[in-house]
Amino acid sequence: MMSFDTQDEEFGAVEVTHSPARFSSIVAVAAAVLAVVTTGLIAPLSALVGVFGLVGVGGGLFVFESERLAIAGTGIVFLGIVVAGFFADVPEFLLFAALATIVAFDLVSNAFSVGRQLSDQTDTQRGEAVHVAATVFVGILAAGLSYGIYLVPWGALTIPALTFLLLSALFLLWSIRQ
Amino acid sequence: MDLETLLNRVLIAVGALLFVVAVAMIAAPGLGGALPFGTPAVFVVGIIATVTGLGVVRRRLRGEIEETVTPNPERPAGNPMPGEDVDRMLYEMSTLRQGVSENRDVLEQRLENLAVAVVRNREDCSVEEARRILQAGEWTSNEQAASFFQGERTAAEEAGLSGSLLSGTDDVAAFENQFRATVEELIRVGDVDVSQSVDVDEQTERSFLDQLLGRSGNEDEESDAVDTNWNESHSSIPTFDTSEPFEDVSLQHTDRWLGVTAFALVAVGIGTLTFKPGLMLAGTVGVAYTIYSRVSAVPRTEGLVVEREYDIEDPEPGDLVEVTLTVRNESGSMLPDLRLIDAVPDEFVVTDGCPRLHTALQSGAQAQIEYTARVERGEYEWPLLVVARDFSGGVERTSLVTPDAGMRIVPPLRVTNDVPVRAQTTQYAGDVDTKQGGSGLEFYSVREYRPGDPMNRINWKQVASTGELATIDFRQEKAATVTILFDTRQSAYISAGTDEPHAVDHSVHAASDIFGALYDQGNLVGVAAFDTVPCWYAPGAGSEHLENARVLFAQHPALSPRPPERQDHESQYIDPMTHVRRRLPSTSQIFLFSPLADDYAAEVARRLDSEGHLVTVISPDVTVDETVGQRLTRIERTARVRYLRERGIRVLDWNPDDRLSLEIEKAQARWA
Repeated sequence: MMSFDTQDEEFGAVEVTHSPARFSSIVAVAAAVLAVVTTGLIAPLSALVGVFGLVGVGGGLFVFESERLAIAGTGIVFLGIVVAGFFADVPEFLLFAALATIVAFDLVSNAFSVGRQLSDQTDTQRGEAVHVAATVFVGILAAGLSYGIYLVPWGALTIPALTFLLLSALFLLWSIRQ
Repeated sequence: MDLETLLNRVLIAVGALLFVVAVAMIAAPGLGGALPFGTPAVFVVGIIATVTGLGVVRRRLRGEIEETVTPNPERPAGNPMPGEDVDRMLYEMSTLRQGVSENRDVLEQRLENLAVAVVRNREDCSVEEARRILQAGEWTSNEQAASFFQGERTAAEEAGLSGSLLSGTDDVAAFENQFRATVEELIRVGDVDVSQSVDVDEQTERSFLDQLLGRSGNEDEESDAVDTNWNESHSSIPTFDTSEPFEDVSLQHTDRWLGVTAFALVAVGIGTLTFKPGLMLAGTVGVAYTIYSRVSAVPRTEGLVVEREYDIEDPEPGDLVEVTLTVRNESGSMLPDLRLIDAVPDEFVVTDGCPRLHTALQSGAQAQIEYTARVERGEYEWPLLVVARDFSGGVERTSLVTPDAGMRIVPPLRVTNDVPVRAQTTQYAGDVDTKQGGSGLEFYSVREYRPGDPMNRINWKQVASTGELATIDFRQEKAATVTILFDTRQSAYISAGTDEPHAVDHSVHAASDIFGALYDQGNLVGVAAFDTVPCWYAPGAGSEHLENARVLFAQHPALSPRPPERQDHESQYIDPMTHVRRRLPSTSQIFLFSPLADDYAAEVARRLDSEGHLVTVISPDVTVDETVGQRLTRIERTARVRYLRERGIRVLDWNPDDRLSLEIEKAQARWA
């Protein structure tokens, strides 16, 4: 008997596709939706901007598979937060919405990265879950910390002091970015 | 210390100083009053922050994330399909508008040679006569096709090449249409077996895509992935070979958080400008993530222990082997983001499961990857590609971990069926019936007694009836010398589809079975290949010979499943048959394995035949019939088969989908 019969079905190569990782994508969209809903609660007008962003995130992840579009989408969602902050300055809601947006931003880029480097057929559950957990944990920690500082009554936050504080933050951020 | 670090330190120092001043002013409110700062200063800072933030957004949208590009080891390296060169030429002419006249000349020449062969075969006439028929257009009733060979190119056309370049569009399109029509007509006239003609428009589109993306036409999405195969130049893994058990490939910042600073800067900036504390607060999350992205630890992947196990100890080519990969983290720290890809050799095809995993491993934890691969002859040891990131993903370390688990796949050379050997033999006793009388089993003739004839062969009946001595001759059975010759030039590495084995694989698989059969029949069997890598194993016998042959099939570079590097045929052309011809015993029969992808292979068979060897060509048919180029190569191959058969050379036109043993049986009936 010939040992080769390459036409058998089982001999075909498996499929390999590289769309964005599913779990991260879903969580990213959910986070973006949360951000838009939160801003919508305090300033309905801003939700209009946010919905544009949502379309970008969803479309970029699931339809066009374009990382640039999805990232730009999170940017527009964030723009919605800025608009909301302009109309209704509710710190808690804004803080939460910003947190959700940045989580979405991170997960979008991670979803694409995992999709590119691995494949849709890969078992990515655990790796993705750990990444999501780490990002959310850091975000909640940071948001809690800044909210705590915010609640502490700072008696004399004069304008010159604020200027110096901002400038110092700016310089430190620049140094970090490099 | 380079400029960047210096600048960084200055920035940190200035930032810290400003922070201290700000804290001091908050603590002692009296301090601030002396400074000439008012609302405008805050505004300026706010604007700077916003503008910087927007700059970051721009950088993010323009910039690329730096990350390791991974291979797709599941699929075999795509081998070209027959006829790709023709399709490419047509594509270049019609779409890219490159080399119009050169390609046209080449295609015309090729088609003319083919047409001559087809017409000559049909009319059974000389080459000159065939040319005359073509020139006269008498070979077909299809006017478009007939006119392709009619008349020399007029002087005006020769001179007006530049003119035709100007009005190129119509000209090229007309040529292409005529070319297609002629190919179709040759299929009809030459009675070549192809599927019914494909819609021309669709064909054009397909060949266009084929050329653009190297696709096989019908499975766009899947073959797209083949483009990013390991071999591709844009893979960031520099080489496939790693002799070390652990080797670092790269360590880099991914820049995947680039842009998160923008959330901070824009929110804080606008919050300052509009005096909205809520926005400023929202911006702090961005600051926190910016810091998070820079707090990085290099993942300690050198602590990974990788073990690979196979469910079959000694696999044979074509076996499906289940591979189990166990990865254990013994680094002593957590590896939060591991992307593992088993770099399955190009020759293997993953048929089930996935050789990849994305996971996080705590210290001491382990994970498993399971997949099934169709293996191919050769000796392999391959690495696991490990792309590890830290928690934030800001740092990415890529390494190759090669477990000590090599795989050696040797063809079994088992006896599958009888192979017809012809009566060109040696002096050794064997299995092949000759046309010589002597000692043996089968009755051959009765002849006059000659002194010295053995007594047991005297025909006593005749002696009794006539009183004259006569001797019975039996048919002598002798061993043949058979050389299995492979066509393993670059041009033979063609396959009928991206997932299909190429012609050389088909040949070697078939030959390893035939080798066993021939050996079992008591023949002296040798192996040779014509390629730039000399391959010669002289015909011989004995179990050691068989064992050596097995290893040769598995490991000789000339028979490798991986095509040879592209060679520059133009500059230094050595006839690849030279070394074979020099060593070939004059009485050796030849089994030539070749897809007959070019005239050279057919010419080799013809020349060996004329040198007195009995040649049997076993030709796996890997041609397909979708695009015009593929159809053209199919007719060309058919013409070659006919050309060889005309000269009395046995050709086994073998469709690899069918079993070779059945084909041989059928052919045997024909040849007998």
